[in-house]
Amino acid sequence: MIIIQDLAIRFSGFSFQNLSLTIADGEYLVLLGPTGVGKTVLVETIAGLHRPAAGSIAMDGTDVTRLPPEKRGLGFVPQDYALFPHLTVEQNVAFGLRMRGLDVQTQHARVVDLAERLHIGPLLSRSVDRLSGGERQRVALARALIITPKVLILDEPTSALDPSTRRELWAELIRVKQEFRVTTCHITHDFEEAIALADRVAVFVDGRIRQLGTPDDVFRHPADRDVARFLGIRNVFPARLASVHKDTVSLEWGPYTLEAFAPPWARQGMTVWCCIRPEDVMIVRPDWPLRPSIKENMLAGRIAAEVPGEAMRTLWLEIPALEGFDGYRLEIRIPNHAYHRLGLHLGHACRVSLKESALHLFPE
Amino acid sequence: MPLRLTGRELFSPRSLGTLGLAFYLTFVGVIQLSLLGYTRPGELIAALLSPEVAFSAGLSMVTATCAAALSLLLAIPTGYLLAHRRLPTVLETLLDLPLVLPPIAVGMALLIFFQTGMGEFIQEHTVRFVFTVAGIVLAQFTLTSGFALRLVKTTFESVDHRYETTARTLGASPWQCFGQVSLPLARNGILAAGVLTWARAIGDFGATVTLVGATAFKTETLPIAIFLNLSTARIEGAIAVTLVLLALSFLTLLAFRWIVREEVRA
Repeated sequence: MIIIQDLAIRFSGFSFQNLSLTIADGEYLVLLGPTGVGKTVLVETIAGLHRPAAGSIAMDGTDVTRLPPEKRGLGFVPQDYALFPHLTVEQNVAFGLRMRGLDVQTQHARVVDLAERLHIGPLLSRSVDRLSGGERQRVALARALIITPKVLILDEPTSALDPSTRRELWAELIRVKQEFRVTTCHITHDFEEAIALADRVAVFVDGRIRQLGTPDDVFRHPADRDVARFLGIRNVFPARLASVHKDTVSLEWGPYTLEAFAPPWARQGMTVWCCIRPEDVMIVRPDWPLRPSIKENMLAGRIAAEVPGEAMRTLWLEIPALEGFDGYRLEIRIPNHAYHRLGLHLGHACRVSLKESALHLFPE
Repeated sequence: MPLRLTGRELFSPRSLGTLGLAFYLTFVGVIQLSLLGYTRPGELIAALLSPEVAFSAGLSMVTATCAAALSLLLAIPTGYLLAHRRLPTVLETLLDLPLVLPPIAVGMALLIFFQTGMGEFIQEHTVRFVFTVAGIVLAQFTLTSGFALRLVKTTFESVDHRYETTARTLGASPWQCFGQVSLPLARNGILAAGVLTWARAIGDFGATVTLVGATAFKTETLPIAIFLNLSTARIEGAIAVTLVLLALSFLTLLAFRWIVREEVRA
């Protein structure tokens, strides 16, 4: 368990204040944030590589704020892994044990056992410059896990890998998470990675943790506009709360009236921000009868631009009735097979539905 | 298409460089060969086998090795520190001073130092430096230590800092980190620095002669032997000693290249 309280860091151009965060025992926390905002500086401070200007860090009940890194008992996988080039794979994995003065037989036995569990047994006698990216990652992970750390820190562990190796390693990390149950703090800027691995996601934007929650919570219900923007939800537009009912509200958005679930803070007449994930925008087939759940919140427009993708296609729908309003160009992501089944193409006129369950509101 | 060079291609930076290289190799070669051509082989061999050459070669090797070892002893911890901490510019410049100062000025400064109260006290109570072999080592050390420091510092800087920080997080104390990570990774660079420092020490004339004078069979290093032979017009002796120095320099440079290439391969 890690408890960070009121941490302030000033280091090489980064400065944070009043940063507090608790990671529960065995929890896998993903610190998600854009590149270059100092996520690395933050975890390096947790690891003891920088001294914080104020605040405290405690691990398993011990205050480690003033302890040097080697006394903190954590496992650290730095970006690009930093495997020691003058040592073999086995010597790399055994490094932490050697520093703790364990005898050679014990070191060897523990390395072999862990290598077995991480499927790197055959690599042990190799030199590290003969490893592939994925192999390096596993070796670095083994080197961090060998000391049975109180806390595991992973700094962008898959950013140097190609997409298919990355997915393999997610599966591996999920297995490690279930088998080792070690408290983990994992940094990434990759949304898919966060969703794949996290018990909880901490969204780190502009030197602050802006939102903390389950992946589903964070990605469906961003706390504010900056978080929504960072999470790739481009469909953020202001609307007026025309009326508030028991469970739902009516929103005025240009000439349209939308229905959405009522947030507890809703007051009639206030302006709110409304957002919807591009993959939650539903394209409605013109000839199909409408189910009642999607009959509401229908908009009509024309596909103005599109970008093909591996599995999903991104479309931009221009809605003539909303010209001059935010959200005039609505971003939509649909699976390629649906795109083809619906016979869509550039310039195609179509109707979309913004399901009320997918519309998320936050106060201005 | 047949390869035909136009006027513009003939006069290119590369062709100019080829011309420069040809000139320079000839220049260096002719100078060295003229040494061999000037004397008869019999006289040269006799001079090479003379006790004077054996003495000065031995003295030069011992003193240069001591000076290089002392320089590294200073340069390794200091270079390690300087690779991790920036110094104020004035101090950095002060460290570089022995690098650019003419050797005779270094020798002069040392000589004058030993005339001061503190210098005399040191000579009285520890080791005599002026006109002694210890003085040769001191002169060479003074001249080469800044050089060694610069080289070792650069070597430690080229070791990726992340290896060191990662080692610390994995449980290495500062000493373990230095001994098990920084030093092994800098090993070849330090060896190469040692070789270059040694070559610089063995080649010194100005600082040495100013501090310890030129006494045959006493303070007679190889460069001083050249000077002594030349000043008494024994040309064969001067040439023989020059050839020994030449061979030593060539071998050290070869060793240096070999170490550096090893590093690139590793």
